[in-house]
Amino acid sequence: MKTKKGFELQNVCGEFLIVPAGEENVDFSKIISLNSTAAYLWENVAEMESFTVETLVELLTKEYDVDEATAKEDCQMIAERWIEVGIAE
Amino acid sequence: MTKSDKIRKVHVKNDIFIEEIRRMLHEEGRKSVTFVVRGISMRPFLEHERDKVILAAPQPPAIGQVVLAEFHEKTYALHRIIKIDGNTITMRGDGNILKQTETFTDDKIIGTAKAFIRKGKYIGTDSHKWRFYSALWHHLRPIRRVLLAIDRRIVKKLF
Repeated sequence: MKTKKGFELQNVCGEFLIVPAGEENVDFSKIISLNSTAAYLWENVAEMESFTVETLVELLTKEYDVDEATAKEDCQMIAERWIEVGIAE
Repeated sequence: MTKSDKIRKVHVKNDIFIEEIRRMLHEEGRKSVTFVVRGISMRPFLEHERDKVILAAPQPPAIGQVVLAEFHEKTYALHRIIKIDGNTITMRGDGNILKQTETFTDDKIIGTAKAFIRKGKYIGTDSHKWRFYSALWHHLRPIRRVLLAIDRRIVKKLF
């Protein structure tokens, strides 16, 4: 999968926000809030051509103290959510 | 990350959020920023948390324009310009009483409204609808208080 174009991760007042942002307009009325872990993952995969759940697991276990099974479960869930809310495809 | 976190309103303190908008329009050179309006001072046209404004970088001020301005330190409003005197600007919310105005210098303008999304519909400030509404509201000045007070629903139905 890959992240969709036209979204930017912004840190506003300690909130990690995915904001639809094109050349023309930045739309704060349709923002998606991420926790810091999700924001870390997003930041790292946003520039990739494509990534898999395994990429996310690798990133997660590298930075966080979490066992692989749990990481895999969480990453599967977050990837599904990203697709569901339309910020990844 | 659970299924329950579907939609949540993120409220960022006004001064921080608006400074972010200022930075985007003035420093990053973004063309416009869209956000949901809060407050009722621009009734009957704009409704709290229902409508949105598309704000562009400051345009040369003109009477009738809607601008977002910092009229006191860290105090902001999105209101309509009613008077220009050199670089001194006076604005007022459409839904506010006539003497409730804000006066500031033109460097305090953060952005100029270029369109609104009202009840989900896009209305540009160059559209006939917006101009008609603006002119009508201006001419209704003597009875605005009555209109705003009697029945907001009637006014809302009209527009």
